[in-house]
Amino acid sequence: MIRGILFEPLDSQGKPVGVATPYMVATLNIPRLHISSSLPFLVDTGADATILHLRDALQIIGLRDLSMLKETQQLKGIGGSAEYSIVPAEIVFCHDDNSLEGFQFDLRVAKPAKSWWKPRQSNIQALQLRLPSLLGRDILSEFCLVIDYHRRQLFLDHP
Amino acid sequence: MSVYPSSAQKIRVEYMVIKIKPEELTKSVGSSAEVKRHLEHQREGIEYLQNNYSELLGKYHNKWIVIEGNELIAVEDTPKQLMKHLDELKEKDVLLYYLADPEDLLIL
Repeated sequence: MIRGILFEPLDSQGKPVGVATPYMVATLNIPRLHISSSLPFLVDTGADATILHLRDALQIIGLRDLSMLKETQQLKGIGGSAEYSIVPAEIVFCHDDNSLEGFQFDLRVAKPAKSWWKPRQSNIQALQLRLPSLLGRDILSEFCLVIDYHRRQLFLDHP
Repeated sequence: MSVYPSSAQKIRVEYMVIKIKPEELTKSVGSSAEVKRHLEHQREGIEYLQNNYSELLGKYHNKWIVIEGNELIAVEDTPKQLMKHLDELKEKDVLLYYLADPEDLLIL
């Protein structure tokens, strides 16, 4: 069983702020760029693919290497479409018994919006830098996913 | 002839996920103890954020915060400042988070 986190912050009165957010923490390995980093992914059953969004991409890949990634694909979301690079990657989870489970897959890495470098684009930049990375159905479909808000439990397992 | 099999095939190719053999995992990401240490470090960051959310939101709403383990190591006001700082944080296991006002909902 791979345990996730139902992130449920409380306000100053001890009341939950919004609805708990499901995160899985995993190690992401990008052999081509010699990168290995652990980071939280928002569990997103609405996303076709697993995505490294810009905030995390800039931190673990860096702007210079990010701009050198060539193979791209347009992906659509509620806010419109955006450009993503496709990079072969590995994602590794740790089970309760300390065993590791990993997959090779095509990671979609967010690229800065085309208007990113134009003057007075801080709203677009701010929005792109708010988005968490997503654990999509390409990886989730390898597991039985349990999100139990009643018992405050989130885990991936094999039936 | 139905077009379904070819579309299904295309989907399989686009989203091909291959399970890595256990003996190859150690080569690519290190021992399970190492991986677990890094993952625990990230979990620690999320727990810190959760436990201190109200105080952090009060002080730094609409700002990006950088957490390393159970310590807040940076607060950034603007995308430009954040991007400048992110380059210095490369290869560190840090948690980046935007403290949005609770009314400011994000729909992905």
